[in-house]
Amino acid sequence: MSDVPILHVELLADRNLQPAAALLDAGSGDLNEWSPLIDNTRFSAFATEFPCFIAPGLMARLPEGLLHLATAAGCQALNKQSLYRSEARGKPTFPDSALWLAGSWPFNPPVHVSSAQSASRILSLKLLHLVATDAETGEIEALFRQDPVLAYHLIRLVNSLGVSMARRISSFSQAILILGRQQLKRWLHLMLFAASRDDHRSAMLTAHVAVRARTTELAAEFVGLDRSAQEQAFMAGMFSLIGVLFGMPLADVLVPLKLPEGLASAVLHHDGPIGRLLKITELRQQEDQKLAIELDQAGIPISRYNELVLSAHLWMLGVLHDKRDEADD
Amino acid sequence: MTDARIDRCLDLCAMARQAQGDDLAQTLDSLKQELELLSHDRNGVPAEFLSGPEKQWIKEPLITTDLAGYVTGWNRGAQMLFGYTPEEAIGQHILFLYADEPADRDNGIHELFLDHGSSLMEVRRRKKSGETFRVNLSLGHVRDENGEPVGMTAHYYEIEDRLSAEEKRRLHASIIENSEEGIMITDTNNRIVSVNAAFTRITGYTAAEAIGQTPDLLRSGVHSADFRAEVMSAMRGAGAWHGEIIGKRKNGELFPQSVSIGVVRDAEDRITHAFSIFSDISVLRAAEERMQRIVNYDSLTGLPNRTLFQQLVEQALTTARRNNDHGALLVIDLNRFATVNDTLGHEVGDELLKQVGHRFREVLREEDILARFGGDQFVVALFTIHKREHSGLVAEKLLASLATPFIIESHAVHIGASIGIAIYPEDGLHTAALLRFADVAMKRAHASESSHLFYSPEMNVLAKEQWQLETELRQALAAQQLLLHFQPKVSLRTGRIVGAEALVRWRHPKHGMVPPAKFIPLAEETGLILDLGGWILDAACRQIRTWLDAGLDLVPIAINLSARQFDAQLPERLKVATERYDIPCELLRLEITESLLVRDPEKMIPLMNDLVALGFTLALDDFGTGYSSLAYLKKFPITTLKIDRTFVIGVPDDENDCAIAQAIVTMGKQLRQEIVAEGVETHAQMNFLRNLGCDQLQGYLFSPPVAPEAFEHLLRQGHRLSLD
Repeated sequence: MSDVPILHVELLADRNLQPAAALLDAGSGDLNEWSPLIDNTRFSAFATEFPCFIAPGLMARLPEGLLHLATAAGCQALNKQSLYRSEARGKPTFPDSALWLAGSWPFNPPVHVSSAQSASRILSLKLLHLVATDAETGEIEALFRQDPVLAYHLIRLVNSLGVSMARRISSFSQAILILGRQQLKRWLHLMLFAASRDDHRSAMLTAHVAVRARTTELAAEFVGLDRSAQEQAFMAGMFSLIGVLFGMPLADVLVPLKLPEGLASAVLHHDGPIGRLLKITELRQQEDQKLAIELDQAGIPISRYNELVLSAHLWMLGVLHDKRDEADD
Repeated sequence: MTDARIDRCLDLCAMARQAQGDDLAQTLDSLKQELELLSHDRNGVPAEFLSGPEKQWIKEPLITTDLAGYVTGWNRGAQMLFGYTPEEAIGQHILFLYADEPADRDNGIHELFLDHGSSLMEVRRRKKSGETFRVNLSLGHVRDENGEPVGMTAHYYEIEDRLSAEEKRRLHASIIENSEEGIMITDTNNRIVSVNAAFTRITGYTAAEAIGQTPDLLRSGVHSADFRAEVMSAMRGAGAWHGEIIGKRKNGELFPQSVSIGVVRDAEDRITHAFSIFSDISVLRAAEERMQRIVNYDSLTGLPNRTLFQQLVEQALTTARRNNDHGALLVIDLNRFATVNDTLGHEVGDELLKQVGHRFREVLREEDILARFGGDQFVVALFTIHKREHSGLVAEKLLASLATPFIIESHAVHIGASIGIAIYPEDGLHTAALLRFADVAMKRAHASESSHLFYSPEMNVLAKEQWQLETELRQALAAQQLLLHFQPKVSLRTGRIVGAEALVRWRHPKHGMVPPAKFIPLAEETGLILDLGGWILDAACRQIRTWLDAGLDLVPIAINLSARQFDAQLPERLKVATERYDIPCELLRLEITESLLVRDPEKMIPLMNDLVALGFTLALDDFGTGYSSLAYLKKFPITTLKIDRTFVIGVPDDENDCAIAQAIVTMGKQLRQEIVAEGVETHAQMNFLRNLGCDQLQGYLFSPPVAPEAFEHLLRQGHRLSLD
């Protein structure tokens, strides 16, 4: 097994519970192996666009040259007092001294099941605008990729209206095309009307979903799965968190989507090539040992995996950016 | 009032039985309120004096949904209005009630104020019976105890008939009076009781002159007694009648009229009146006759068309046989005219044809005939020439006239042409044969990039061979001489087989394997490609089924679709084929050529969208050889680009090819396209393409197209391309 340490990127929320920074840490191994990772435009782009903190443990281990590079890109040492971990169920409160919030709180059940399931107002509006201006399917698809709630409801709706000719929906563009623009527009009007105050977890959860979906997709690309399998990998990553998001058992939430069998069992049981990749992205937050074994079996070197994770986080920044742009308007 | 409230309570009870969680709590709250109101009523406080939305609930259709729009509650009013029972409606998405709006209404604006709360708006909805109707809708939120929305309510109110009886009468009278069509109303005694202004305009009789007369006033006398009996029986209520009647105007002139006859009945179903609505179609008739006259001319250019041309040439040939005259037929085809149409639009294309016709006419003599045969094909007949070279000179003159670009709508359009020439009496003395020979020569000229060519018998030999081949290919389709081979596609990341392209092969009983390059273009040209394409689709699906049954861990198989196969029925044909063999659409990929994108995007895009909606994915074959720009690609639901082999051959040594390949890959990636390189033969090519970021490779480096058994073997053995 390679001696490259696994990169950990933990998303931190600010006091408004918005994803606002990242905490970088490393698994065991020789950190000198990280120089291609850090001495790279992808890394500097991420650290420039997003406040990045270096975990104390990593700070102590990082070779001087790399530390220098990371700092130059904008990484900072973490002031321990500024970070607070919360595992709270419900809206977390944190001490005055803390600036950043870490922990598993976004993954706890929502306070209001119904508001967790209602669509983001900003994205619904943005989508409506795209539909109203006759945007190309690709652009509309790109927005659905940004929001698990809208994506979920889209696929569920297409199945529910019985227009899918008993076929399984395997891509967003397929769903958009089946539904048609007129129905899409009506549906978005309804979604807008129903849009409620965001669930306190939703900003952080959406960011996590973005990272997971994109990582799974990039991993699928890396292992040579073809384009439509890559799309399914993205959907698998996205829908794997939909149970958490909605505060309901995952298997129940997936039923009305009638996903293609392979995709559904990938999400629920980690079956098949996509399921194996999804398992990797789900393991991340837990154990390095297991992760290293899974990566090895999938044929993804840790060095490449670190890059994928970084790329996925960069993509997630784009998603955040899009949502903020509109909110500022 | 009290009854209505009790009904409402019953509805709420029914809803409560079906609801759960928050919805249940909400429904029970409503029930409680409703019961309180009921007790108010009994205590002598009329509900009308109560404030709040409770008042509106009574008996009105009410639907509740969750926040995603799925129906959670459905009262009796909703059942009466839409015809669905609660069992049928609950759980459905509320969009199932929406009916199509007329295009001009569906701008979304009128539904946008949904956004501001529960304003009333008029919408179109569909009943279970299929009937659509307009109704007023008011949307609201269902909130939990914290004021958080947990669902939506939709109230429907009937739209009242806004016209009073008097208004309606006035409106109808004015519509009749102002109608463009003549209207005549008769009573049961067959006397005219009313006519409108158009009646007077068409027939010349004023109302005063007509009223009191019978319809015989207009009788022309040209119709048979049977015919008149038929019309009369319609006026006596035998059923609506529609047809043409020749009438007579006041000035004695006969005119054709298109007439509808019906009757009006009273409440007891007795006929009170009959009416005839008619329009003067003599103008139409005149137009028809004019059409007949111009049927011999091409409407766009005003030049003779094929029909007239053949008549004229036939006459000339008859004379020629007698006098031993010499003459020539020239067939002229504009090069790349389709591109002009596709890029600049049909208006420009049409204008170009007009101007080309004009220029051609100017370089010809008075007695020469210039005709347009439709499309971009012009034909010239030269009736008296002394030497065959003279017709060559004329051809050059025609071509020279195209040298100056055409200025159309501020575009400078350059266009060239290919000309084929057949001479009489040398090549023949029949119009059809001469035209065919000139056409053969024109095609050769086009293919060999010469400006003009004379027909020669060798050309005919070639054409005959083609004809022979065509016949044999037809037989081959029936006689199962065709088979599919499969060329694997491998991932450039892992070297694994990730797909295959199915390629048709023809095992000729005498000539052995016929190369596809020899028969595919022929099939395209002759239209046989439709049968061939159908065969390939079926064979590919059958093969996939065989492999699935054999438990093979199969990769997607791509088939090529010809532009000719792209018609409105294509999605259905594909659906039928995949269902017939019960194979998932994901296992069938469709490869299309670039020419399809430029042909008629307005038609092609919806068609391609339909295919994607069915679950197929589209790949663009031979990318880079045609017209389409990458930016243009965005409009099409294509997910894969196959870089044409002509660019692959040159890499990594040819700088140009490298630059092109790089441009295609970089931009293709930006458009989220999967990139496949075709025709890869060497490791050097592979390394170059792999470094560029190509996803997959297809080519002899890994495997030529192979028989199904061989392909299955490759898959089972897990053969991989070595990427080192």
